[in-house]
Amino acid sequence: MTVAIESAPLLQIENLRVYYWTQAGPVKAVDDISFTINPKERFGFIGESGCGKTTTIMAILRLIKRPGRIEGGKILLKGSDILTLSDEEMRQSRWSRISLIPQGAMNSLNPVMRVQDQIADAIVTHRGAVPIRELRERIGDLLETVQLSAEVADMYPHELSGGMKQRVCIAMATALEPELIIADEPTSALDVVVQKAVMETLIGVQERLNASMILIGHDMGMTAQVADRVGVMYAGKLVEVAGTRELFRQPQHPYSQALISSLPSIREKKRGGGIPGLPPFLLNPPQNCLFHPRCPHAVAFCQETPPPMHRIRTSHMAACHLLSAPEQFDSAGESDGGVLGATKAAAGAEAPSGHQTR
Amino acid sequence: MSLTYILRRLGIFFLILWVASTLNFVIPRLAPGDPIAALIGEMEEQGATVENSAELINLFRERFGLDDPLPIQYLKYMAALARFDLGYSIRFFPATVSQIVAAALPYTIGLLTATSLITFVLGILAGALLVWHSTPQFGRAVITFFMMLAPIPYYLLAIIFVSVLAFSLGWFPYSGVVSVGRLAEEGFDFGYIVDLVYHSLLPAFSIIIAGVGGWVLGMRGMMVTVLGEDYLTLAEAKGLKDRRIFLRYAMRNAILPQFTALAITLGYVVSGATIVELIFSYPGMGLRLFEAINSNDFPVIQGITFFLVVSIAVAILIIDLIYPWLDPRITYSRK
Repeated sequence: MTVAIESAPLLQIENLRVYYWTQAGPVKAVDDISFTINPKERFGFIGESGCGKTTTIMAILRLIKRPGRIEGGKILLKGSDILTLSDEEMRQSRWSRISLIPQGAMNSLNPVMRVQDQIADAIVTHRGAVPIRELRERIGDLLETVQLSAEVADMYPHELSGGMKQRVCIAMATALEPELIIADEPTSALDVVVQKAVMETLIGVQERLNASMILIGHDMGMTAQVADRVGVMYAGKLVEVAGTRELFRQPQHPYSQALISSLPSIREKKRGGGIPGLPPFLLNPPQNCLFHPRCPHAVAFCQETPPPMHRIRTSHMAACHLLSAPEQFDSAGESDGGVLGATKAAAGAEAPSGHQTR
Repeated sequence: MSLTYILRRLGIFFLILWVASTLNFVIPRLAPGDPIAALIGEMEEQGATVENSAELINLFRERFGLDDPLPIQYLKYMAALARFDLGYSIRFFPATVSQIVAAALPYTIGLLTATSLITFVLGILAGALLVWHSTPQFGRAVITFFMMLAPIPYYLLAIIFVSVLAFSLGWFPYSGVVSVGRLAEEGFDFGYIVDLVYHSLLPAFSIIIAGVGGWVLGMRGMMVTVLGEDYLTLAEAKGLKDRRIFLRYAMRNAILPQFTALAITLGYVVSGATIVELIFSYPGMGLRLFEAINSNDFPVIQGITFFLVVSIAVAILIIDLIYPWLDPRITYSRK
């Protein structure tokens, strides 16, 4: 067993469900998702807004607020389920084991506290009182690792630029050397030049700490460059997980395909398109496959049976009937052969293991 | 905090004082006729005999230089004001307005500053706790109960207190600031202070209980806004202790606008709590103002009004000067 620890995943999410209990009924913001994150791995989440990415990471920090509730599942951090921790144990785990680089760095710093005090807050709470001189030195070093001068420690958030605030957040997130850093759109609010620099800083500190990282980003290009593996979320479901290269080259789920083909490309000239339609209203979601109303390949079967997670390769999974029950699509005899035919051909040709498993 | 900021604030302060004192000068003079003769005449009409009325009129004429041209009058008035010389009371002649104010001010300031601060602290804490997630249900119920008292006017509470606690039960004195026979001249010892506080308890309670609700509502509103801020989520993600997030992250930000309201409330302190003072025969500014209005004692009314303006201006000056310390963004945005 001791040998296995090295390769054991750092984080295992099993059948996690998070519902928001609205007056009109439950909204299944995260519905039965499972994935794992290995040590030192960078795991990216992509998907349209409102697909449950932020809810998932908030569940990992156990910061889901009413009317939201974690309805079931397991969140195993190094094998032990954090959902069974007491509130106080969970509080101690936050930041020291799992830290967060928040979505809105612009407003994530307390406007009436100096940067130093905000970083010190995290250190002192978890590590106990530290002599002020030592604390200052620690914070100065931390700021240096994110390319900020030590003087920033004495500044207030309003005196910093957006990029500087984001760097402060990164410094803060690494202050206790956590095992897992969650970055929720760490660069979305920044301009493109600063985005790249901030992302490089973030990866630098993550690698130095040997920490794992969950990265949420609307910028798929950035995710493609940075993440080792990527999970695609749609309407609270994880529809595809694969190595980054593989996913972007051979996306298997029609949603991933549509998402990735909406990316502008330097090589080919095409109209900047999106995916027609909007993610479903989760109070009244479509039956079974949630993507079928927008899916170019959908057949009646998609509404009748929930698509199982289908393993294409050891590290590549997708939840679509096209992969797990291709015969349904043959018998449906869809007329528009173009896209569907090509996709099926691709699925058939490039995922032979899929046929074998079945 | 920059020097420019301080100078700008001081400038505004003196501007307010100048405008207020000028209005105080102009308004009575807009009335037709001789204001002093009119006052005396009015008093005599009401059947009061004003002794030494001729002497009074002459004193006032001399004091205000009412025969001088207006600009000279204005300068003399301002010069007198600078020495806090506000003229003579008509009713209590030859007492000066300054003497009357000086006699009443300590009681009022003592009672109202204490009650205002207590009300503020209670209201702010209760308002913040009302929407804080870890406040026990029982605590919320208690706060809600006290908020139900908020719409009751404080003077109604005062009357109930006097009738029940003072008259019927006899637990508290129902009038005055000290027991009959005990005078300030006897010495400002411990017993005197205890007696003073004991006499102030009922008026204080009626002001506090009726006043807390307003602060609760204001603070609750701000708290709700702050609770949605990203920095609160991050504070929680940092694993900080609940109390620290509550005090340093949530309350610390939600309280900022309340400080301005507190400053204005403290500024109003010098005008006294007229009705409470009346009900408890508490010899503060409110009672003096009431008497002055009742007897058309214009110099006293003007004097108290002027003091009120000065003290509000001072309170706002102070809050403005400490605001950059409370909220570091202020100086910055004014640069």
